[in-house]
Amino acid sequence: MVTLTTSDNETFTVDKKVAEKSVLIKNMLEDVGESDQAIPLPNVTASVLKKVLEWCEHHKDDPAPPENEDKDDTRKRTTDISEWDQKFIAVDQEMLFEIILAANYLDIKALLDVGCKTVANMIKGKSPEEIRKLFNIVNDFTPEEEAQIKKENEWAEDR
Amino acid sequence: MYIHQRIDDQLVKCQTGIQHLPVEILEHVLSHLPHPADLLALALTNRALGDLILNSHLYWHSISVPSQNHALLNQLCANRRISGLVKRLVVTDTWTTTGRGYRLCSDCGHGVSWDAQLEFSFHGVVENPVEIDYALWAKCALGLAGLRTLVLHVRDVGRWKTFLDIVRRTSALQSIAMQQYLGFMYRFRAHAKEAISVLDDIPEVEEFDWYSALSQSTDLFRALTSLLLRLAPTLRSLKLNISQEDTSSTSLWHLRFPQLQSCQVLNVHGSIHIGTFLAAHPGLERFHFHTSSGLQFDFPEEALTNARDVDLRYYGYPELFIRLVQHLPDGRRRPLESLAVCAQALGRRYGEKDALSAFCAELKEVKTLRTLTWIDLSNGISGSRYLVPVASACPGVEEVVFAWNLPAGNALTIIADALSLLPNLTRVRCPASSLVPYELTTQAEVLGRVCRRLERVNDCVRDGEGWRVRKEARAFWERVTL
Repeated sequence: MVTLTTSDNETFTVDKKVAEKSVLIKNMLEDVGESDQAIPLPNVTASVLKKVLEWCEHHKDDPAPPENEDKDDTRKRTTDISEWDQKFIAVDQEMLFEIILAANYLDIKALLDVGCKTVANMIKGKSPEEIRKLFNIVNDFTPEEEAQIKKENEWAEDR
Repeated sequence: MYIHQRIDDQLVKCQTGIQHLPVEILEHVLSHLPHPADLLALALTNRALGDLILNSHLYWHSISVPSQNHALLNQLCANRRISGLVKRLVVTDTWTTTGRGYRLCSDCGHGVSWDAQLEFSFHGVVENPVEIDYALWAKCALGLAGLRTLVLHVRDVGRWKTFLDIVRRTSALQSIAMQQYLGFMYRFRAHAKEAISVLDDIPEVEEFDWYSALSQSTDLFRALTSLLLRLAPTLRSLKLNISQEDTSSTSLWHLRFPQLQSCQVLNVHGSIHIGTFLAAHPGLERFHFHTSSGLQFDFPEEALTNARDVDLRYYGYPELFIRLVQHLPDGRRRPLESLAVCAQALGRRYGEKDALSAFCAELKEVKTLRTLTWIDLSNGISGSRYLVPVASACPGVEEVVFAWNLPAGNALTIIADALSLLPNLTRVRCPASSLVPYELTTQAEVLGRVCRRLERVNDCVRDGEGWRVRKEARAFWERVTL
């Protein structure tokens, strides 16, 4: 078992196999060797870690992703989020971004992928105004700037 | 499972939201947005996102590259981050792909103006003509991890075999177009077959386009058929122009594509098999079939029930065109938005009636039509006189496409009279490469006088009271990919 401490000082004790879905934790365990000491995760809160560990638990038996010689890889597909992952990631927006940040920090590539694909799917097919509304983004372009960018990139709008 | 112990109630609140994501994560999100329209929409939301997306992702999203351009190739090879951003790549052996949208004629450096790039490229050709470095292209392919759409507009597809093989393994191609311009050298055929065979293992291709200027050998056609058989489960769009000499191409019609929505087939034999093919593909929304063969055409009453866009260049049979606009056995009509009509077919008899009036009577009931393609192969465009009753039967049309050059003189006046019956007409198109600018402007002036809402004739746009030719990215792009 491995003990993890969150930024808000909660501790989680989990199966080593589950914790090692995180490359960061896996490397730390390898560096430290056998130890009862809790691993501090100062960038992750308890509520987020709980969610992340739920994902790790479900995917603990997944085969490890193939070691790609090329790190920036990959044969990315955007629509292939599994049904379980889709349900898992159906959370409020704040939690979604927290999970993405945590997956990035903990180096859990498959979870980061699920999060990023979900955000991408939220954007697809929407207008700039709809995206602003969705993510609460303040428009700091002048109308002239916006029109200019649209004009220069007219080709891109051809769906 | 884990044990959850609460020690402290203090919560650390982070600032979250898409605009606060670190750049590397944001780029990860962007990598899952293959369509440039989505990138542009996100870029337009605010300045920070715009700076990131416009200057890198959108800039490199869709590029067209002359195959001899070593400067650009070296840049792509040297910088995997940049080559990984390319989603659509058009490689061309000519220098015609200079669309602004599909940019990058030459050095592609940021901050270099488009005009400067053009100038650079033209100078590059004149001063330093270079051979295509296929080995360098193969090296470049290693970095094209994000590639979704590939167009090879080249003289000899066979020479791209290694490149295709690497791209196939590196990326997740969804759309492949191979347009081969063989020149006068038949010897390239054997290479093409090998190049096609390396594509056999690509999973989940949604679009495939094969064009070859010269007729194929039977072997090559077999290789194409075998490839299509493998791609069949996921293929949504198929475009073939194969100029097949013998009737072995009829085997194409026995293939089945469960997802097929768009099928454009030119110069393939086997008209009598089409009915069976169409019956097996009820999801088809677009069907184009061009052939000079005059053989019997099998077109059942209930074929193409979901068709939005049909272009049958099959001159002898008015029944085909009448059937398309007639109601279906269940009483509804096809949701046709675009339809090609052949003048010569309408000049014939249809049972006891003349085909023209029978066609027009049915066409009046098709309320969805927005684009009309007019095909007139007669000497002096004499079939144009039929366009008047056809136009008056479809007043909702907004665009007319002429399959051949717009005429001059009296024939143009007849066409103008017909088009004046289309109150919503905003756009006229004809084969882009066939017109020089001054002819186009003259024709646009004639048509524009009677069609007050007409805004565009090919690259010629209304400018106040006059007309001027405006070369735009999309027009160039279409010229390359047609």
